[in-house]
Amino acid sequence: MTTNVTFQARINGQEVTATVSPRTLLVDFLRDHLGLTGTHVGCTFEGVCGACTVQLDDEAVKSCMLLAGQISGHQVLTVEGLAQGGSPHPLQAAFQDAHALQCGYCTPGILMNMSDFIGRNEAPTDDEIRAALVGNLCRCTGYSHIVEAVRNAAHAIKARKGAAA
Amino acid sequence: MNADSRFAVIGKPVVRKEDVRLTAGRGQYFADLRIPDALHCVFVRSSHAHAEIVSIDTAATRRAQGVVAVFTGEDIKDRLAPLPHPIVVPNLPGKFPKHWPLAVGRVKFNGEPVAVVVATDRYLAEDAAELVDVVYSDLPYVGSPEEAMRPGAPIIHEGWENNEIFSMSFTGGYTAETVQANVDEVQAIIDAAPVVLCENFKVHRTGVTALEPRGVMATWSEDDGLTCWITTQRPHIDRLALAEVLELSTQQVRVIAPRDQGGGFGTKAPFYRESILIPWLAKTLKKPVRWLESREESLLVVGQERDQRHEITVAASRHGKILGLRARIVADNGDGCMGVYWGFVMPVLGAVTLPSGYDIPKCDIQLRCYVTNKPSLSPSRSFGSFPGRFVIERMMDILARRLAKDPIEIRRLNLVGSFPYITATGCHLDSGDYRKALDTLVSSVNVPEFRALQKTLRDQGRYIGVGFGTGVEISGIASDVFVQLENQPGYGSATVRIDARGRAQVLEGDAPQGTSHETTFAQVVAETFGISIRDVQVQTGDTANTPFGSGSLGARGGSYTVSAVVNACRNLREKMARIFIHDRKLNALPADIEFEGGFVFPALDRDNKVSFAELADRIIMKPIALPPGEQAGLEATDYFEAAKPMFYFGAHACFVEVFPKTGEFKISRYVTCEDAGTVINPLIVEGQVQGGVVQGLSNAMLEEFVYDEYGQQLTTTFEAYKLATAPDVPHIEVTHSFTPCPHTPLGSRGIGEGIPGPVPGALVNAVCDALEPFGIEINQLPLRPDKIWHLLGAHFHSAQAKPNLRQAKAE
Amino acid sequence: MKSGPTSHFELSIQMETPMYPAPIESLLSPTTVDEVLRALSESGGKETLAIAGGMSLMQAMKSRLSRPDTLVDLNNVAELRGISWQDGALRIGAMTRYVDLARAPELQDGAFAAIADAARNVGDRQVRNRGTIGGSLCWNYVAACIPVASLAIGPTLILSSRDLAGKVQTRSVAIDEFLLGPMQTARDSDELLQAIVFAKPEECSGSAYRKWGVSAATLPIVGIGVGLTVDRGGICTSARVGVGGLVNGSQRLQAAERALPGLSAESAGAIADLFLAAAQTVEVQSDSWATTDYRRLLIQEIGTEVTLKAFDRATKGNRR
Repeated sequence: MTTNVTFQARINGQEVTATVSPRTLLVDFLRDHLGLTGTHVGCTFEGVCGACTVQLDDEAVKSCMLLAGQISGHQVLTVEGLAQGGSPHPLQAAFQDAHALQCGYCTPGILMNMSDFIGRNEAPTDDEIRAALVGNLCRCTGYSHIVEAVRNAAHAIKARKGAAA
Repeated sequence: MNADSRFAVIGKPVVRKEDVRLTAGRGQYFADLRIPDALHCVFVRSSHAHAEIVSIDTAATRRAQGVVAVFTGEDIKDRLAPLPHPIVVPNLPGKFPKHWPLAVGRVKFNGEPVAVVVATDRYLAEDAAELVDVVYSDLPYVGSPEEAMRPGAPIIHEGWENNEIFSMSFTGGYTAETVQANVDEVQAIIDAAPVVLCENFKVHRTGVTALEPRGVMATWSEDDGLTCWITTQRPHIDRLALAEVLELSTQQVRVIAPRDQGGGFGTKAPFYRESILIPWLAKTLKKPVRWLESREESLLVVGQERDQRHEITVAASRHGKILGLRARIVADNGDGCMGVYWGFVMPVLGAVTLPSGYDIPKCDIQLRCYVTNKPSLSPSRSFGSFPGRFVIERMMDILARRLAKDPIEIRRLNLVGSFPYITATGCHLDSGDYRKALDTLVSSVNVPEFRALQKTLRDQGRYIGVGFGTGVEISGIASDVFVQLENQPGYGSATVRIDARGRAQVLEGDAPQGTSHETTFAQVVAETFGISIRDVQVQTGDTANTPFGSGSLGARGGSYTVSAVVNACRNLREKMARIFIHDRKLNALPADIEFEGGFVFPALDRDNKVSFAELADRIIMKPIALPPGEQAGLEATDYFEAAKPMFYFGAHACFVEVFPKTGEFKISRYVTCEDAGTVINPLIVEGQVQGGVVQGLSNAMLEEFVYDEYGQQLTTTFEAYKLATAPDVPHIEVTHSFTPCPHTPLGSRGIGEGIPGPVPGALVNAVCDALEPFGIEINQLPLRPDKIWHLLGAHFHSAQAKPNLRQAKAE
Repeated sequence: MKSGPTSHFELSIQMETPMYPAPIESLLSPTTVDEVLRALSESGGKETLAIAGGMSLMQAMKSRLSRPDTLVDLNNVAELRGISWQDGALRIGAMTRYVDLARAPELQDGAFAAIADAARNVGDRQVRNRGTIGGSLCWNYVAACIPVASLAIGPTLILSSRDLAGKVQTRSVAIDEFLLGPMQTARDSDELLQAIVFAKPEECSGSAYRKWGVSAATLPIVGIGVGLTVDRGGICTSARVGVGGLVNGSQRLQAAERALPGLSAESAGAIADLFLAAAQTVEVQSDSWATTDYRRLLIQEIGTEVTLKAFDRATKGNRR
């Protein structure tokens, strides 16, 4: 006898109340129940590709490796919530400028991972960026432009902070 | 890369239009498309590699919660025509194994679909599918071409005499007599040559799986028939094939490729079992039906390519000029049950292009493809040619070492120097300057400085090396070849439409998967009409409203399709100019009229202008007093192909350090030089090169489909089938060598298809160059530290000493 | 049916390609240890599993090799997280995540540094934001990092359960008695691993861990952890060596442990020799990634490298 899980969570800044079966994956909850299809699924159960990466309490996690019910009382940020007041996030702008995507399937997961990463490492080296990207597979770009975009975005954010100071 | 000064917008590194929505998470991929009340399918797939199906019990499955229907091969075989069907059969003399979308009687590889469960929900469908009880009776596993060709081997396809699915000689001759004459001539060349090399090569089973798995969704209505959404590179071909296989009129079939696709690289080009079955289910159940592939299914069934063995004999002059090439190629075809490609079309192209960009006067190339208990080979970037490029580039280095010559000089000596050039196998190399590309590459990497450093480091017990690889690749295949190879036309096509407000729309029948059509076509249209890229919209992949195209493959987009866009635009521009001249009563020709900055005006009287939008409105909405014979409206469709196939050329250089103690190696630098002709968007070209090289490295070093002795596939997750991650690969430096292509309106060649080709040669040549003091030659892929270490160990054991600095062995 | 060379389940299933967990009847989200123990003890015949980071268990559930009826989420039990000194011993809560272990000041150097070495490189950063030390130890995957690093130091594991009378029982199990073989531990199904306690180290102790894989994002082919103590002269007086990724999973490499005492960081050659010799004493597999001989070479290379690092950390204690 299944007992559905009712929970409350903050998704992209909005309070959400939902009832799901216990086995509903977080990625399916986001995509199917909330219509937030920016988060993608690229592997089966192994949780290696990283296309499903979102932020849980400001930390990058793979949403295919969590159950929806586990986010009760927590906050989730998806790629749809990354833009800041109508303007693209510096990473999104940097990805566009540096041609850091081709098919775009891995991109939301990388954006969510990297926005967490550069939030904690404001001047990363290219090697550090590459190491941080281990959990995101990209088949199209060969990673070079992605590394460039992340580096540029980190600089831009740092410069903005410096200007604001 | 300097922007092309001939153009305003072409050649500029324009940021891609599609990136705004893709970085915002607003992509529209297959899995994002929803139809309310769609039923979901899950396949039950064979856990056995080769077996009789004794029984399939679906009783419990049918009773399970949410289940609407269950089908097995027995259920469908009398209701659905099997393949082969002419529309998806090439004009090549091979065998085409009969197969239905579900196994009938036997399963022939681990992963073959055996039953399909249709339910109201994906999770419930999976629960129900677990209840399907299949009883198998094992048959012996045929796991390699060697086993498949053995006399007395189990015959995999019923009614066949043997497991050979395709066999052909590529010598330039087309009759038994001319083939034999060529074979004899090559033998004579070998007998007389001062230098003869014999080597064996083996390239493993690998390919380019896309990050987005496949999906098929279909609806059926009594009035309009089937509407199908398929992750496909070829919606128009799928539409034709579906109509024929399901015995519907083409008017009753519409195929739509989703606006965004997460990569294809060839793996979304075949006419798959699932592409047939899901639409059939929709038509049969009269309900929308949806199937979303899992990664495990994808790795079980899709994206397996390469897997060829080569026995090579090269005859050369004392100076290193190759006089003749003999090759015996064997390919592990898998079951071959794959519409359009049947497993062997890829090795065919690989065999035909084995000479690559080299001037080899006579060739005796024989290809044999054998059916095994694995899924069929499916197309992967560098279509059939990845092993052949590895082989020929290794032979160049082995030849250089044999003659104590510079590997760059050996290549320069042998590269084709004047165009057009017909290879000994009949390939038409249309244009280019291969030596210039190689020289451009070499001059950008300062080889003499590297050689000095190499010597210094060897004295310190460190081993660095440089390796080169080159490759020609198809860049648009003309119909005279494509009709034979795939029974489909080779042209690229596009419709360009201007609306009454001066906005342009491009309609393309092929479906991009990250190949940037939305932006490159917009650049081309904007350039021709002098309007903003923002005012150009590109729509792709819907058979209801786009002109016929055979699909996004073989770099057709940047070669043929973009040329069709250009021609259609020029057609419309000329028409607009004629009407403008007529309206303003000018004494001028269309060529005298400029389209710039959103305005139209004579070059010699810039103030006598009209806005582009106003002119369009006049022609569409107010078609009064048009010039005699001129029609209203602004829409043009163009079908473009060059008379002969086009090829582009790339040269790569790879720098490594090898650590003999463990066999590990590190790529310190990787540089390419590509000749793509006129570059429409340098950002996009660079992206294609970087991505293609990394795919090549990932294939060469990491990815491998592995089967155990029972035919169980062991690499069905991304943990086991390892794709390169960011720290595994270097930054790829991209340089260009420009020669215009004389066959296209812009002088552009398509790029993308063959970039992985030169990679394994460049990489392995670099490692062998680093380990030259040990005399190691590596002729197998994948390249792994343990394999290098074992080769060195064998060397050490025979030398009975620690490595020392010896000169290269001279034969 | 195998799901790849990483699977150890012999169960043959027809399904072949599952993506979603089998039905779960309930997902519990306790916030105290007591609630957890109650849920584990009152399973009522239902398969009840606790989920920690979930990085391994979710794989097993989604591939349907594991089919719990009841899932007890440990992620909201604050008591289970955290690192603290208690009478000179270091107590690490079982739910402490890799990301927190990697940057814990208590683990950056010295006797327990192998734990941080291991935690820093598990999986990827998304995995490290969820995976836990307790989860890794209880799963005891054949090539996992934390069990091997733990074997190199020798902690004690604190396990609790609730008996029929409702009384909480607690026991301590040494790591050597806890890890029993690939995917097997001494934890009973109703027990909760609460904490891992690292006893106050001897002076001049150091540990280190490193794994080897063909690519950066890889399950390790081989992982080695070494913990040792040196005297004032830098000579090793005792050593523990753990190896993972071989046929029998995380295990002690006794042959190496016996040969290290008496050596110093200056004896790199002797260290290499002893690891190569020790590599002959354990069962080593061969597969498409690495042959048996190559794995033995890796044991030698990585073992030497890790030992020298452990020496360096241990002798820093001399210099304090």
